[in-house]
Amino acid sequence: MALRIEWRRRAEGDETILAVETGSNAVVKTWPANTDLLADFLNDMVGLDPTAPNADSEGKATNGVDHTQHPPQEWGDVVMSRSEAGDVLWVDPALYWEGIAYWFRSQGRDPHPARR
Amino acid sequence: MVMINTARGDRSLRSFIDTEHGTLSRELYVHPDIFQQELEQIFARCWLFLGHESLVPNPGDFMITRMGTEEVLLVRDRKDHQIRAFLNSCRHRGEKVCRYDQGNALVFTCPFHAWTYDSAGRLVGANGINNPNSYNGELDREQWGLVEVAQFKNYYGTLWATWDRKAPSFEDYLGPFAESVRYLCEATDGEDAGLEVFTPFQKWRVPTNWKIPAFTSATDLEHAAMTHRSVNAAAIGPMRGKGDEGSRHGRRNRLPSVSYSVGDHNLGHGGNWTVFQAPGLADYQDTWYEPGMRRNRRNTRTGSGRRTGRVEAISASFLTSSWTIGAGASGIRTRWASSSAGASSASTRRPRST
Repeated sequence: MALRIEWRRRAEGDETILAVETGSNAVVKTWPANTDLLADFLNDMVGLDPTAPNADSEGKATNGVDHTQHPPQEWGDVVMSRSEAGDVLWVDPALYWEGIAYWFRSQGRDPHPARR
Repeated sequence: MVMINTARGDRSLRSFIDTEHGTLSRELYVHPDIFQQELEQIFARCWLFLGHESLVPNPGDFMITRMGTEEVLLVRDRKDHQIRAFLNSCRHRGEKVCRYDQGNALVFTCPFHAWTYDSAGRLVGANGINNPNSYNGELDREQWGLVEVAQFKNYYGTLWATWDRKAPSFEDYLGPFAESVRYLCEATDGEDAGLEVFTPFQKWRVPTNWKIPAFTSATDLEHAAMTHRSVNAAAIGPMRGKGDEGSRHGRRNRLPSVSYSVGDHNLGHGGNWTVFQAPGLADYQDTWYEPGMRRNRRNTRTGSGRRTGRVEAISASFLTSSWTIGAGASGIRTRWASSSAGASSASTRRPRST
């Protein structure tokens, strides 16, 4: 089952990371966006495990919430899409840099801390 | 015959050199036509030194370097971890896609129309690209990745590239000097990490022609006593340890060594290198004249000396010359150094035997 991982946005701050099955285009996992999760998404994605239980924004399991009933576009516009292997498949540059400003630079954080 | 247009009429390039009297014209260093020819015949065709792999150790790490007058984006791919080199120029309107000297990034976005490239140089997005009318609906992202160098070589950690697809392989290009480069790249200061560049390094834009440091100064050792007199007086220049006067550094005894001049005139390059025939670090001479300072100096220099050994290797003359062949204009060249030891002489150290 090939997956892609997407960062989508309904409005500034109302953003979600999705795991989407490529063939069926079905959402199989969601993570409410926060700075740490987005930093992971923008780096090696090791913390984004599609097989783990769903969780709310505080990391608590959200049993019974079946996000698979929703097509990915219901989570808003695609900011960035990556393959499971890490390839950047698509980016909307305007949304991407607005997101970088909102989640990172406005908080004095660097989305790519590898050299820090 | 190559002709150069001058105020005194067209002249052949050979007329600038008087082999009978051993003189040459200053026009060789300043004439824009000559510089243009050098860009086309040397910098666009030769293998050029880009840097060292330790400058981009992590996936997504990047740095800006130069090939002639061109800025080149050196980046380690996030997926396959390979280092690649691209012309730092957007395929759309030619703006720089990376405006920082170095860092770590997932994508590079041109500030003009937001064409965005990943760390493998692929075009992954652009403003308005979802509009079916943009780019006449014909933008094939697969065809518009960043321009990659024609050939790239990671040679024992040192990174080289050429724009010429027909250029010989790196090893064939270097000829007999390849072994010298390998030996230098495998140099060690007795530690296991191998050759590396200490960061942050310093970079200067120096108002001089690239041939001055690359050839004229590198082959003219007599200039050091005057040109570097101030740093020699402070005992931090290239003449330190060469004589007793002015030296405030504890000096090491010399390890047994053999120096070579290696090159092939038909290939047009070569250099000098020294093979140290004993492993490790030499003992210090007792030269310090202030009581108590000698022992302190010896202790502190032992640590810094181990580090300096590496820096000497990366900033050896042929590598330094290669760095400086980043000609920015006929009268500008860029010079990098990885520490205050950037002016040290060519030296390699035989790896410690195990």
